[in-house]
Amino acid sequence: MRLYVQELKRILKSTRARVVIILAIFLPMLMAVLASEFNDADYLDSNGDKVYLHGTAALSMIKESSSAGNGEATVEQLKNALRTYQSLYEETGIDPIGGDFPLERYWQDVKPIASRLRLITQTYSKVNEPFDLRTISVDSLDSFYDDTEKKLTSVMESDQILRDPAMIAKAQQLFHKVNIPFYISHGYTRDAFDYIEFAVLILVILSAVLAAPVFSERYSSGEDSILRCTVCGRSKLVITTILAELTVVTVTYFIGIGLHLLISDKIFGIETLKESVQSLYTVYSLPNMNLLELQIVLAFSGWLCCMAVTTMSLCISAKATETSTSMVLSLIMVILPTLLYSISGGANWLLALFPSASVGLSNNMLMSLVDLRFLMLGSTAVWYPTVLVSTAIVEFLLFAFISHIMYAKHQVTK
Amino acid sequence: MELEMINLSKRFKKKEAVKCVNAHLTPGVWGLLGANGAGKTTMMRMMAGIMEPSHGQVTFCGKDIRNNSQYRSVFGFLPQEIQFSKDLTVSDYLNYIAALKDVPHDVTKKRINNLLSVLTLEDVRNKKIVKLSGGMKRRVGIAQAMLNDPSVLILDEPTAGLDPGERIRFRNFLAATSADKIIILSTHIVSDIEDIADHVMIMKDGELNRIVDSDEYDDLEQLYISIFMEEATK
Repeated sequence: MRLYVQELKRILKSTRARVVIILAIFLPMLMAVLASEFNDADYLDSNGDKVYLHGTAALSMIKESSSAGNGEATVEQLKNALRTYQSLYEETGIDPIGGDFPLERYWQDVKPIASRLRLITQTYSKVNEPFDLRTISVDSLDSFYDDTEKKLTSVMESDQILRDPAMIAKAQQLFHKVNIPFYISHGYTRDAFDYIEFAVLILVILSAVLAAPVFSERYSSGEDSILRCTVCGRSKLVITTILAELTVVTVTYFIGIGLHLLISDKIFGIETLKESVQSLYTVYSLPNMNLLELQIVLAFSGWLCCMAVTTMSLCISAKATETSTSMVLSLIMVILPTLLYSISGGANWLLALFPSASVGLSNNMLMSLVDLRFLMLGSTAVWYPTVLVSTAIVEFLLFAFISHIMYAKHQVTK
Repeated sequence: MELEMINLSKRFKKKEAVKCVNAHLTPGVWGLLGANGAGKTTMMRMMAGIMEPSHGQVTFCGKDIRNNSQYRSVFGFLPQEIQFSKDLTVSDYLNYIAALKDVPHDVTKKRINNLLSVLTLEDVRNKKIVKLSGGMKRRVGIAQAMLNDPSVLILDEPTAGLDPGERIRFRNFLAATSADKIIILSTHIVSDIEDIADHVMIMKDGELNRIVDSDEYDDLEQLYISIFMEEATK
């Protein structure tokens, strides 16, 4: 315990750690504020002039206008939404969700039902075909939730990779668990969730920056010669160092992501977290979660990724004798999955084996959850998010063990 | 208490840095003399248990020192070159090393204070080590080596960077603390050890050329030169 406290003090007194901690707190907060900047709205004022709103002002207007539509997306309410749409179209001769519809009526009559109309469109539209909500009969929505499952199957069957029967069966099995009716609570945007993943990516990179020089710095400075020949300087030191690094990374991560989510939830509204993932993304998304649960899953999977990346960086550090080598290699390993994903164009086992496989631009945990991503293990289909979580846990422990072995085997040369 | 080197050798690719060294060390101050590149540092690293020998072994009280925590608990080491963590103060660093050496908590403060006093580092205890002069850094290195009151103390070029006054103070300090300890002091400067060493090991080209007791020579420098002259005339 005493050595652990000393090791913690040593980390926290280092300039590098202090800079990393400040960045890990500040940058996710900035990300949360930036996420709200993607909201735009326009309306006509009393003089009939168009007024453009941006950021939180636009968000307030959107939330206020849509609030009447918050609640469960029951079949009856979906029918009402479709009825309203069709009658508005008939009355005006203009598509209510098209750009030419009168603004005032849009905010008053269409905005509250827009989410429900989107759910209907997603369920009944065909891939690469224009879709007209007037072609759907209100009564056909009686089987809406059965039709969402059919939609899931048809989407998978039309995809070269996802058409495997085992993947379709697995997807259907997951989709059966999704709570229906979906819940709608206007406010949160997809951009805001993308920014959660940006914040996680930043925190993962910072954890690599924190851990990468730990052992290599001791080797290159010659300090290792002193530490290694003390009574606690081998196994106990490396275990304590790993634990102390993981502690600092964990606390920093949860402060960073916690502040991000607090600010984000404050801006977008805590009540909007009740919304189903399917309402914000696609009707056939597989997670049985609301947005709050999605945030928790993203935060914890990000933490697991941080742990795996930290032990991987420590492992590289235990092998590399130069700090710069250790730092560069660790950062390459963090960024490589994003590059590989762009090249390979999809999820694969090689990608999943990287500790940072669940962070990146399009290869992140959020996209893996809301998109349809599976891997085949023999004849069994495995949902990609479970692969990412499992590999992160295994790699976190494996790299910690390898770090221990590598440090123990290191021979002093300097 | 005895420290023994048995057929100790170390080869780095084509170069044999230490060649079949045999020595039996008992309590006292042991000087290790040799020119730069003679193999002193490599031998000391093997004696510190931080470098694996190619052949042979080092034993402490009959037991191999590899993975020997009992040896490490009574061992102190000052390497030749060391850069301290740039963010730690003298006091932080010594407390950290005390924890690594498992020095009892109640003893640590007293021992640190004592070492800081003896090594005249009291005024800089809260200063970052990187801001200290070369001589002060060396004294911090000596303090960390002494923290656990070691029975076996290996100091590789401890006086490098010390001014003449500091060298004298260091020699006096070492003489005062050497009782019942095996102290091995490596240097290429004869005057550093001639007054305090009970025994002198002279290394040349990786070999332990000679071990002489202090009563076997009148002028160590002359002896040291004669060994090198002998070799040159052969």
